[in-house]
Amino acid sequence: MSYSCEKFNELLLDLAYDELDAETALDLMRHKDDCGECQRAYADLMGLRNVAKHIETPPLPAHFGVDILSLAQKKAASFRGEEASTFHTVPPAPVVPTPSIWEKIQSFVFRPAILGAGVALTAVVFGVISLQQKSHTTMLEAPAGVPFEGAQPAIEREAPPSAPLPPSEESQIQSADKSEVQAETAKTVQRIQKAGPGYKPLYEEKSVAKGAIASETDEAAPLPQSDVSKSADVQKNPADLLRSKSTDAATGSGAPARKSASPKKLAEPKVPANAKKKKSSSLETIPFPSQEAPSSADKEAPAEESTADDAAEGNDTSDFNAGLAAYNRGDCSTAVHHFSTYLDHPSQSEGSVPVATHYIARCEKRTGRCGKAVIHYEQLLTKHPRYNKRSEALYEAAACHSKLGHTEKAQTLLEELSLDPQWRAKAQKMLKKL
Amino acid sequence: MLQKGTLYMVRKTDEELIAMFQTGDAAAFEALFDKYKAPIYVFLVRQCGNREIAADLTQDVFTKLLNRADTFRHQSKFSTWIYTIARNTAMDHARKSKHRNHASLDAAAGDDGPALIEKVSGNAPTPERSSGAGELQKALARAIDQLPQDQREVFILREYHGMPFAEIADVVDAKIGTVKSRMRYALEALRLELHQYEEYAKELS
Repeated sequence: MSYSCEKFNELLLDLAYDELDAETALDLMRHKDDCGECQRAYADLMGLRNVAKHIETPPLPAHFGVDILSLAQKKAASFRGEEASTFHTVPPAPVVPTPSIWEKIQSFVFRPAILGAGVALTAVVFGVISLQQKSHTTMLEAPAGVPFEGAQPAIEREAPPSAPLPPSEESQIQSADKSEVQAETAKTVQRIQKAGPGYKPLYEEKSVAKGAIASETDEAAPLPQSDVSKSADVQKNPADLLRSKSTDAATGSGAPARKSASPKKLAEPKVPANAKKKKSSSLETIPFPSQEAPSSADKEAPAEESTADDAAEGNDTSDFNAGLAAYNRGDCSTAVHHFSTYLDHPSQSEGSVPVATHYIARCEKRTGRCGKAVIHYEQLLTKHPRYNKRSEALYEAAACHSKLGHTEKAQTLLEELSLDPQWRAKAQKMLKKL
Repeated sequence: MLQKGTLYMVRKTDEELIAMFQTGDAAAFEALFDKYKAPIYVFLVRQCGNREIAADLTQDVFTKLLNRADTFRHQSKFSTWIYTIARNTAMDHARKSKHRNHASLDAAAGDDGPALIEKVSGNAPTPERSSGAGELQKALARAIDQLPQDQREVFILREYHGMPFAEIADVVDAKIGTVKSRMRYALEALRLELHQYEEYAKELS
């Protein structure tokens, strides 16, 4: 095909920058050879390109990008973390901000049960004291130097109940007061007679002792089981808290932590044994089983936590976790059963499929069923080419094929594996054996 | 820091590497960073005309890339994506600094001072630079610097980054005909400025 000068000029840029197919370029070059004007235009352009290539290329500053790479590490970790966090269908419980000490005290004191008990106790003490005082002032003459005046403010500091008591509680207190007053009066008379001038009224002792009683009451008042564990949660670091919350959420028992917690409990949390067990069991499900080391490949596998994190995308995790637990205790047949059930579940997400498949394959390999194992490895490698433990899977699959006598297949897998420098030595070692 | 060898990563395409990074492989990002940090820096030096600013902008580009890595949907080439980020970063900077209000690379610092391009190079003048080659480099830098921004970016991407016109059209968000037209204008302007160096350039080649 012959080109006109107009067409040549139109395609001159593409020709000069080698963006034309070979045939068109050849035709244009033929035209250029025949046309002086087009030849000059082409020469001008190429001459300019020749000048342009002498541009100075500035070097990058030294140590450029160190912080970018550390940021990339964090981002990559967050990608793995995000996958883990999307494992549970129930969203993780929101992080409750740590309440201030005053809020903790307020929330503790203003609990209905505590408030009621406090009011009742104050009423009892106040009633007893006022009756005592009345009996002292009316029935007896106090000796000189008795600190009635000094004790008065202490009594006043015991604030009277701000809210009226329910009628039933009030009547109980009144009837209790009457009998107590009679007994106390008799005792007081005896004490004054015995003590003489050094008499110290009983209510003063009681007012001192009351603080201790109140604090004892605070300590003795047991927190509800959930509150104890929540107060323990407050002391965990946020990551642990989130983890336990997500575990709670996954098990369906997770409720947002209440702010209420005793300051004493916060200082020394009494975590029930079952709460501790719960934490450890939730952690047990996270890592990829490290006990599994049927080959040297497994021992040298990079951090396997991410693999389990990858799994953390499924919706119904019970079968996955059950499979994992069975795998950890070496019960491969149960593990295969649970992982297969998990994979049969229609709602499990893509990220967890290769992990579960890998577990099944490993279980089969572990129990010597290499024939079945290679089927699962094949499935894993073909359907999930971007699986981040592909190299491990390749090595294990090659080992299975090798045992089965499938030398060619094993070689193919090992050749692919040898592209990964971390695995090259192992792959070549096994290739030699083959 | 690298978990996997560079050779292994080199065999992967950019798109494969970013996909690996999206699954949490930091080494894949490192491979991309190694490949693109210098070109992006050079592109930004040419765009903004200042090496220190260009280094900061390059840092910004990769930070943005990291922050948006999960949004890359593999519907375009990775190179298109990163150059688009770089171009937008340069344009944002130009907008903020009122259309490149810093001194031109070739503007003399004072009556007696050397041109800025000599100061920012950071090296003592070499024999070559003091000769005609240095003059050619300065003239070339000045000519490119004087190009309008839309022509300059097209010329730089095609001439120094080897980007096809179709891909440049994606980066600068223009039609391919418009891109070629800008390229023609840029080449014509450069030819007028640099035609006296053509013979000399041939000798150097």
